[in-house]
Amino acid sequence: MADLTTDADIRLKGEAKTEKFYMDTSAAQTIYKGQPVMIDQTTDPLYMVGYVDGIDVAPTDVFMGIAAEKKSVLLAGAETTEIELYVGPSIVGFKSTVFTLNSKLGTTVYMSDSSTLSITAADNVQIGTLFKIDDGYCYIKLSAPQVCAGSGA
Amino acid sequence: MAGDLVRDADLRFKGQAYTETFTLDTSAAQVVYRGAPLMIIATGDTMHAIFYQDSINVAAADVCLGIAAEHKEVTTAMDEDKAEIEVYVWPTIIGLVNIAVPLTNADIGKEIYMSGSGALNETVGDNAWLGKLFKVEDGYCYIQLRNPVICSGAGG
Repeated sequence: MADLTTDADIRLKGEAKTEKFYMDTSAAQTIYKGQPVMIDQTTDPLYMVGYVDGIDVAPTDVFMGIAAEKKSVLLAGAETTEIELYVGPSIVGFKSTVFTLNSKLGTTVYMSDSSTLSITAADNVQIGTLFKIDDGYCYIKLSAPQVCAGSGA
Repeated sequence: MAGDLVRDADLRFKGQAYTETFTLDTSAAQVVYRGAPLMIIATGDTMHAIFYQDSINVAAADVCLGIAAEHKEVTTAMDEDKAEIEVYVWPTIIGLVNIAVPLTNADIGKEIYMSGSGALNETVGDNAWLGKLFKVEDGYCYIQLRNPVICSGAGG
């Protein structure tokens, strides 16, 4: 798999809860719907960056939620652009074959790039626990905001 | 068999109940009573559920899916895709009759397990993990379900 280049197909189970945050503009960035969004402590402890494979998540970094909309910002723009994120306790469904067995329900889930679910903490972003597998979608009970304490980057 | 259900349990709820549908394992006939925990046994059928009873030694990799919301019977070798059962899951707060272990409001917040399909217990042991005690009221223990949850503390 690879990082998102378009909005992801996501589904929701039950009521979704969202919060708004400001995007970091120390670099231009486009965040796609379905992409994890985080606080990268080495970049900016206040404003959001979209998680991509090139980011090595550290134990103090914070997963803030899953982007509910596509949003772009320019380099050095005013940090006043808001993005809406799905946060806990939303249950978000990702189209994925990473999990196919109900014996994995309850497993802590990470993302290894902006479109790929993973069971590996390593330098990945921790997003929640597997809630259900249904119709080709893996539903994740989000734990955002979540300090990625298990990450080792 | 200690503490296992022989009929549907009396259940109560606080707030809204949430359910998900799963399918039952039919490698053996099953009679699932309303109120029984449903499990995925990691070393058995990793897709289809069986009901928890005292004779099952829950292992750390097993998953407790939730509490059966309906009485369901399946026969051996029945089509598993048609053996659906509705299960109460997180964040439902479900009230179970407080008989096996006399819990009180002093126990609120403790993790709660089931040592039989009708018996609450504070001990992880080889038991099914439900969630945490929310309130004790009128002879019922209200449990805030965590399910589906991996029974990571179990040692059966």
